[in-house]
Amino acid sequence: MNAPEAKSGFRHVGTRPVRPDGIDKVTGKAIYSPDFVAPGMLQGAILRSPHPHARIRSIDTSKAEALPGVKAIVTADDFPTLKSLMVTMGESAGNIIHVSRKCMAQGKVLYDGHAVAAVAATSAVIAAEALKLIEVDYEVLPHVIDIDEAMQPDAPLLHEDMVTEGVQPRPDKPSNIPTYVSKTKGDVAEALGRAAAVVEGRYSMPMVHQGYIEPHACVASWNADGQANIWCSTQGAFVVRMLTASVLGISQADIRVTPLEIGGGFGGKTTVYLEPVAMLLSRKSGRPVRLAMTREEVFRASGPAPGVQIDFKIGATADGYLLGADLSMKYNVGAFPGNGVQVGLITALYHYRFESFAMHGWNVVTNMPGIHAYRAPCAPQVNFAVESAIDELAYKLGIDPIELRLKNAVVPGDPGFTGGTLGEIGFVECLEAAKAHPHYSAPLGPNQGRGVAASYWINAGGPSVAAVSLAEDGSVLVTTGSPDIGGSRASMAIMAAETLCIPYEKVRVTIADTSAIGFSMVTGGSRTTYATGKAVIEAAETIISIMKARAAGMWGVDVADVAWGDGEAICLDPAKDNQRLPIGKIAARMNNTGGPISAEASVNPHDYLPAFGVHICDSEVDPETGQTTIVRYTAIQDVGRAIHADYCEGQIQGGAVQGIGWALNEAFIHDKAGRLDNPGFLDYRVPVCSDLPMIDTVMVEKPNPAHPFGVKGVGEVPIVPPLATVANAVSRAAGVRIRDLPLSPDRVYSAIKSKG
Amino acid sequence: MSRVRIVPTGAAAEYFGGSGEEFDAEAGNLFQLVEVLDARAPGFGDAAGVQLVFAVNGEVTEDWTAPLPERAEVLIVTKISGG
Amino acid sequence: MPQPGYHAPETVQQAIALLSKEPGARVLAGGTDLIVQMRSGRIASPLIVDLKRISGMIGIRASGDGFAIGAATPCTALKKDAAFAAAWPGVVEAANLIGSVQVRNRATMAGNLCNASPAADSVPALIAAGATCLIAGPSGERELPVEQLATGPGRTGLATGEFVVELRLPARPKGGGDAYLRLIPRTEMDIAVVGAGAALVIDAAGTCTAARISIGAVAPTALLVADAGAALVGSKFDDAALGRMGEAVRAACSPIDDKRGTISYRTDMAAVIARRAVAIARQRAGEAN
Repeated sequence: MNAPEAKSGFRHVGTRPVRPDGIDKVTGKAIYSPDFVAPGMLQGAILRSPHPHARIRSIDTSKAEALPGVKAIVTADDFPTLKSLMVTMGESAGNIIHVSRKCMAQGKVLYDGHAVAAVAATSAVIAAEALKLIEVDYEVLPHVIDIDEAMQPDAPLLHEDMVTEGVQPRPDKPSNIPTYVSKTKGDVAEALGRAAAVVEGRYSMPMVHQGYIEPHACVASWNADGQANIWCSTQGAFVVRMLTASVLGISQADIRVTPLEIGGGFGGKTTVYLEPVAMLLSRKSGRPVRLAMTREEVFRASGPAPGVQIDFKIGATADGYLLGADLSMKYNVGAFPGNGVQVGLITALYHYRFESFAMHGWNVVTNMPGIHAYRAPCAPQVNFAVESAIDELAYKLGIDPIELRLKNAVVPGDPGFTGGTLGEIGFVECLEAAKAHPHYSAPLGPNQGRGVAASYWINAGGPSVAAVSLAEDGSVLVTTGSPDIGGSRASMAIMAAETLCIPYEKVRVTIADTSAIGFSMVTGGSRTTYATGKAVIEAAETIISIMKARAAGMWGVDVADVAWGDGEAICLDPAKDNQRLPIGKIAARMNNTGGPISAEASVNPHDYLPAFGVHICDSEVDPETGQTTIVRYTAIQDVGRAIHADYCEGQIQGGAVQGIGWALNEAFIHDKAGRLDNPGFLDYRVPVCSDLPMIDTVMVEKPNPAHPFGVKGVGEVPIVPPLATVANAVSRAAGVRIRDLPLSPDRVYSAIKSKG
Repeated sequence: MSRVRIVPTGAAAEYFGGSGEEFDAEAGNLFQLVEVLDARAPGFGDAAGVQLVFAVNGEVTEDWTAPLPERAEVLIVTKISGG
Repeated sequence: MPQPGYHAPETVQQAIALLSKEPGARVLAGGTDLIVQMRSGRIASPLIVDLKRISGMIGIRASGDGFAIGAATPCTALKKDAAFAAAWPGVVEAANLIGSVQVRNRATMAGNLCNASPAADSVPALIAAGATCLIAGPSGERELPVEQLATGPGRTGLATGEFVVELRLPARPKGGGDAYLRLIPRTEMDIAVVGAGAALVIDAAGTCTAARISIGAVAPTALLVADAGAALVGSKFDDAALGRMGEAVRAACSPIDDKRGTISYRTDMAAVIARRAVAIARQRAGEAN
């Protein structure tokens, strides 16, 4: 740990104060979504398809309706017919029809676990019993799980009307390929022809899940007058409002969404699966209705991250300069078109100066749940292939892997993926810090191997609203619409306290519901501390202006003669002998100087900067069993500037751990019938504490000049490098290159065995 | 009015023939440009801002009222989601 | 709505009467398998019979030279019994690999045995140790070697009305040592891909005079591999003897391909893990001499 302690002249920025929501969370008082109770609430349950692909001939709910205690049943017939409409979800777009079909299958089920009907009853037991009484007549259809099989011309079609976008001429037949994208620079074949070393390989990894501890859950109450309340855990109450209103065809102002505490989201809670269903059950029953997924439902029917198959060929000069990259990416996006390979295209190669490249990518739909965002969505998959190949190339050329990356790393002024130039990025600084870190030169034991990998993530900006107001005693209230998933209450309080020059404990932060504050985009994209932070700072600055004016009035001087510092107004008029008015005194008199002191700021900043990370891993492989132990792990990252040092480090550690999980054991496993075979934490193996060493973090601070305190996004980039970092370390330890994830013991064992 | 270079990529290319070929257009700001492009490719206007974002001379531009510089390159890219 | 009945009898005879009346009745000890299976819908039992109020069901007592462990004794309690932990460290370690600490505060070895999972961790250790189970039922008591209780995945030879009352282990023989190891993809909170138990006796010269080798998760039930033990007896654990032991283990394997491991990986690993368990048991046996 080398975090700053209030350096650079800051009073709070970079410190590690206790988080304001900590006590409630560790004592169990915090209300998470499955905890919420409304008076008269019914318990809902959802009937899910046992088939991965089937036509729904009919649904007979009559027996379930007759069961005493059943108050409402909902099927696709209760959903309004929607026109195809692209809507903004989080920072990307989705088709509202697909959002609706993820809530309830319409005509066809497309994956094991797809919702087909829902019940609300007076108890959970009755609701579960009612599900058994619903008769669904399925015409089972052939299913497809595998990327290659789904791309075959005779593959079972998920969507009869889906034609590949991005291909010329436009295909005349439907397929399971919604999207083709490509981007080229220079002549790759010619460049690779000049290369002193070329590495070529096929890389793959399966679909994986965010694995948030708290399952999706909500309570909805929809009154006869059309007004509704939804209480749920989400990364964005406003996106829940918009999607629910759009799916149901009602006015957004009629829905008040209250975000409860959130037990993990990682991108997976930036959409709706349950809320529109709970709304319809509530309208039919006239009562509030709770819907809560089980762990099995979360795995079978929410939004995992895509599996991929990637072919990559890369070449460099003898002294290690990258000449060309030929990249073909196939992303398994599950049952619906999604943002998969589009992101792969943007995040694959732009951290290096390739002389030439050719990138081709396809999204492929399969009978698995449709993908959704997962921490730097879709970037880790392609980074695994690129950074594995870079590693092989370095060893082939006999160049240190960090040295090779330094030779090719982008620097400020180089072109970025939007064609503009990169700003104050800190990639080279991260690589230098990795090279200098004692970990990189520490000796290795027997059967151990060291791997490194590097990556970047674009980060995001976007709209946020924040309000700041004074209590009568001069303490400060900050209100935002950004749910706190990574400690943002603490970081907002730090930024407000820093701006106002007052103690951290004098600032308290509230996450408001959608009817209590203006629009904010989701907490996601590593945008919140940066964008919502800007709104908080701007509102706090307005508060200072108001307080200076009020102090000027109290002193009877011109406002130009009032300065702000150290939490108080300072009179610059020499006649007043440097008098001071602390915030508490101004607040106490605010209703005699013009009324309550309160300000709101609405921002939509886009001067964010991408984040870069470099990870180092030592692994030890048991040659007899193929079991891997992560012996040592160091994550180095340019954070811009850490606002709350603990939470920056926590984000880096958490991202690294999730990435290590992908690398070692996590995978969706489907049986021959197309059913998810491991819908639980026993066989969907996220790392447990004893699987991991302490994840050491190094925060490189190269401030973002466009943020008052220098913030860049922190939360996502740390999940990108671990896949290749671990794979490079394990390949080195095992003495054989492994290009498929996860690196489960049986896979590593058979690789060792096959090398003889 | 400025003459600008349109570079449609990804889903944006679909609206203009799919090949991603660049072309010129005349508009004073992005609101006017969206109108011009919507006339050329009906439906583009609905996607712009929802599914697509504009990068003017390499800078992602959310303020559509800002005047477009003469000879600016307007890259149209698919919105990316974060987690 | 079918809600299971719940009874907590205070005598063995009352428990037998309840279990005899309802063939679908299930016995509750720690409940860490039963409750989970009921909640997931895998089991719908009309009657639950809780053993924990029956005297003697919780705890370890001396029985002759050996030990009797009540059927409802939680796994963590085994660690606290110094005499038992010293005699059969492999059994205690195996029982304390199951689930998490919270699970082990409830889970019992008798439950682990009667759940009849081929991958149950404590069962190969009990088999190697030569444990038996005492069964009570309508026609009186009977004692059965542990390896004979399970008849297949999830199935036991217990008749209607019968339940396991206690597990019995002998005293640790002079020069004896035991061990259990399992292979899992993680470091804990997992289910064995392969498990192996070993209980050895070696004489003062270091020669193996008795050996029981057992394997789990590689056949429909946990197995005693007599040939594997026989391969070691008379040897000083030279590579040839260990190789024969490994081959006997491989020959006894009849695993399935599933999400937790392939047939070939499980078979190869059974020999590796058995050999490692033997090494630990041998060290413990040597320390006992």
